[in-house]
Amino acid sequence: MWALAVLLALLLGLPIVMHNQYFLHVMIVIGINVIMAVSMWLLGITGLISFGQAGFMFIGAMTTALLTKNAGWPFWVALPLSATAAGLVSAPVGRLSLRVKGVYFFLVTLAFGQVVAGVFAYFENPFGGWYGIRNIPPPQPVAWFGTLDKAAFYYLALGLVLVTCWIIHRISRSWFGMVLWSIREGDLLASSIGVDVPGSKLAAFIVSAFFAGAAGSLYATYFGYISPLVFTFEYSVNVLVYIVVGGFASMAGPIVGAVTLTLVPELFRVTGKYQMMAFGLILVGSMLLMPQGIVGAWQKLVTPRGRA
Amino acid sequence: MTSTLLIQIVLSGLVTGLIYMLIALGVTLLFGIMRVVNFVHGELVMLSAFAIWYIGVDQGLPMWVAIPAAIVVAAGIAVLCQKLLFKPLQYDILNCFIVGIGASFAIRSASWAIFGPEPQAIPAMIPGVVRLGGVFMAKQRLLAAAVCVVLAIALYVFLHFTRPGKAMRAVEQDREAALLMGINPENVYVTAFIISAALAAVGGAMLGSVFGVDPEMGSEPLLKSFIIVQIGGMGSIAGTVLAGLFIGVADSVTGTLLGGELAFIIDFAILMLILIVRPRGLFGYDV
Repeated sequence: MWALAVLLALLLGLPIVMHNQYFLHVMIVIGINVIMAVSMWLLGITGLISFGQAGFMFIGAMTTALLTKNAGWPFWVALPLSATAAGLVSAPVGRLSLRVKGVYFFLVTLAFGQVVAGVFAYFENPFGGWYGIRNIPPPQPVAWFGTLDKAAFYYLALGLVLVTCWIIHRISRSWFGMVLWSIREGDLLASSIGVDVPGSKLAAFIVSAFFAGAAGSLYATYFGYISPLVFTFEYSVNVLVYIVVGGFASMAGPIVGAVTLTLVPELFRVTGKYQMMAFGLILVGSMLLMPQGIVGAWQKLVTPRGRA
Repeated sequence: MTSTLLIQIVLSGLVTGLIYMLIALGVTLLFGIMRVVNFVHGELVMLSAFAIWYIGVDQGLPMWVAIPAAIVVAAGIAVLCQKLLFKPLQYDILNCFIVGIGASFAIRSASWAIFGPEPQAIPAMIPGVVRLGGVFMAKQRLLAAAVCVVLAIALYVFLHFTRPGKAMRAVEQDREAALLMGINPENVYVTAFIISAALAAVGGAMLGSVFGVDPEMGSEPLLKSFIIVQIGGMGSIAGTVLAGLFIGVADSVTGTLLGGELAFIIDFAILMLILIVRPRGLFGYDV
């Protein structure tokens, strides 16, 4: 508890002591990735991975872009609407794709992510086609959210991360969260004790898409530019790598994974195809050598022998 | 639109569909026998196309050397993946899927680093064009179609009329019972990986000679074969053949008339429709 409070104070005070704008930029990117990782993890509790998570993020980003740029609405209205739009789309998609289990679900969501990118790429008129949308306005008041001083954006990202993590943490510890953990042990087993398996999975899927949409909205207003080449299947896999590397067992896993795996490539300046290679190898290595993730390995290290 | 144009579109769709079917057969074979969705399959297609390009074009050796060499390369990588990745995970379907994605990303970006982004071409093995009525068809495409049909029939004959093929189907039906009958599942798995890799390699040869060779060439056929396999029913050969042809023609028609991105959206709509009506696919069974 104390450690959390100290961490929070450090995060809040960071822009006051730290005036390196590049560092703040990295922190904001970490924030976006953490929201995505935590949102994917919520559905991951049930043992399902949505490989279309980048697609829901894209829907959120596109909603924000259209509302703030074309319709001139303020970002603060667009943000909840974008998350809701992603949630609304996810309801029918989840209803259908959750009819199939396990790896079939992976494949359907994978295809869904490609379809979102395909639709936005095909219709150039509102969606900008492959060129995407530029000059998406920053939040109001515009004077605070400049490109030279990123402190306001940092606090926006931090606030969204905290709200997302808090809500998803509460959900995962609630009665509903316990239901999700029970589904992980087996669909049939869970339904035998009276759990509504399809309904619970669908609810988790929608909540997960909702927060992915919020992350997309933040992305759009921060970078000011979105295109089908950003929200790809590769990005969904990157988010999965954050969770696998961090560990599935608790919410600390996706957070630790997203922070380290955003920070490390930035430090070593690994970009583009080499980043993809590194992520591929990290994914293979951690699946084979460290199945419990960083958090699991740490707990094993600090737990005395003989006490599991 | 004239009817010759329509026939032209449908015919070229059938050829593409046959190539996709060949690649999807490798996916469905592995899934049927060992419940593994091999994400590396698309990279096997790509790597064998590059092997053919390197041996047959860059080094100038004849094609009848290049294609078997590519099959050996693909089979070697597939068995390596099986021994190093899938076996340690005890063929757990979800973990194997995720590890496969990791391996596929690593292989694909390594190929970008090695081969560069410029697309290469494999020259047609039989150059020239056939004219049937008003319809034109490159001889290379006809050859590709013929090869795919022959291999699909060969796979069927192998699975139903030879001892190793029967052993494979026995393991598919009941692993433990097959074990009791003296069949070593591990050997069957190796054979299945080799056959699936060989199908990928021939698919790569056909795809490369019709559409060109580049590091991304494996990802779209893989995605298509996932959709084909799901529509046809995972593990079902007949379903894969039917769905492959259907998707090929549907793609060709929508792609020519409305554009490539829309073709994929139509595929997805068909998949969704199948999921509503029959979640396990046309000929599939429950997992």
